[in-house]
Amino acid sequence: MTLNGRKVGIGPGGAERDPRLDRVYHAAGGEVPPTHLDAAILAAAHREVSSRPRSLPATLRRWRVPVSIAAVVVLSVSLVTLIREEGGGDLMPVTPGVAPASRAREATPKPAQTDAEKLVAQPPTAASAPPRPAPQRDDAGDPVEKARRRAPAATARPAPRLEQDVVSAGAASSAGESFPPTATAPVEPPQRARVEARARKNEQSAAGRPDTATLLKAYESQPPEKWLEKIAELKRGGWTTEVAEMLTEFKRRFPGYPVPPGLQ
Amino acid sequence: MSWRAENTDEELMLGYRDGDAGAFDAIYARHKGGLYRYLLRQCRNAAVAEELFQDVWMSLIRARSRYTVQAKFTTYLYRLAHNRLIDHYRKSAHATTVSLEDEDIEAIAEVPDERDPPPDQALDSKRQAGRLLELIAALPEDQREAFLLQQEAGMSVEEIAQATGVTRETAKSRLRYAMAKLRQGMSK
Repeated sequence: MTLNGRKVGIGPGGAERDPRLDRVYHAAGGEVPPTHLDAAILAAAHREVSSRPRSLPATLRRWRVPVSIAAVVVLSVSLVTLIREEGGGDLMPVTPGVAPASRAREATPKPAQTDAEKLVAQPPTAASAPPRPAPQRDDAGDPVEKARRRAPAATARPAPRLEQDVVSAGAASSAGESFPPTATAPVEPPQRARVEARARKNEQSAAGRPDTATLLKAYESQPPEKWLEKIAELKRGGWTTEVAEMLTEFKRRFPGYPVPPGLQ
Repeated sequence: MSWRAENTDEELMLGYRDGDAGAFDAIYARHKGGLYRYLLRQCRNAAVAEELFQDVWMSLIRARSRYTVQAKFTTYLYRLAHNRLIDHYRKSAHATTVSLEDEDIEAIAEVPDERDPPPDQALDSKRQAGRLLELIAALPEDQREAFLLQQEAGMSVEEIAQATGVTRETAKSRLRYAMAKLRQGMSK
């Protein structure tokens, strides 16, 4: 490219350059600032560095905000977790004086125990006592039995299974039990009796009041033993009126048949 | 840390930002001459040039901690110088601050200078250099600045545009006119 007869080149970046102008210009003189100005500027630059601490590297400065945010989040989550752990504790509602085992039993009504009827028919003597795998103590010393005698609803002897469960759950001091041990805490006898009574009541409430006429008709062809079992069951349930009616009919149908003293 | 010639201007400035005064010494030594001449040829007063020169470097020193590589260091440095020069012009109401239109420039260029040597006589290098400096001083401010940025800072058209805050085409036009004027004046 020529301009006015002179070659003009294109320098880097598309800038038009004239070699002659470049040569003449750079020959014009290389003025430099005075030395005192150099010293003043360099001193100021060094003072600036010494007065301010070294700045963080770019990498650290770039991550300063995200790391700060992450630290705040972690700290907040930790505090919340710590507060919840300290304030949570046992989430189960605690009823004073009632052990967890009894609380569990309260919630579930006991099913009808047909085996209990056998125990009711048997007088509580050592000779006639039904064979039980356990417990070892006799009735007189059994706190469960004592409580049961005291409790108005808990007059009937419980079924072996029920008694086993009761003894195993509450017999913290009993020795040599062959019942399968439970992991629940020992339940006090009075509490257990109330639990049993409450369970039976729930059962009865769920089942409804028995109809004597229906019962009489149902047991019309039943042997006397069955009658007595049913009467014992009604008595355990507290249906005194029905017990009386059934007993009256029983004596009419089976005169002279021995009636257990517990059903008198 | 010891800095070498192969370290770029940006590396040196980052080193100074991070607290290495030696990096500033190196970058100052590289650019002090070109920056001084850039200011000197525009304000044509050594005392003013020294004052502006010191102001530019102090601005850079104060902005040390905030420096980030967004453009070439020379663009950043001469942008500071350009702004400082504009402030000086506004304060001093320099006569030559009026930016002439290109048509006026052409008219002025055609006016013969009685001090010019006869066009038929060859000029020695010293006189050529003197002649060139006179021609540069006679250029309009914008064109003179564009030419000096090319010569002293080695800037491209794009970099000249960034340093002076104009478009690429405007920077290119100013540079072209400046060179045309200088060539024309030197050919006489």
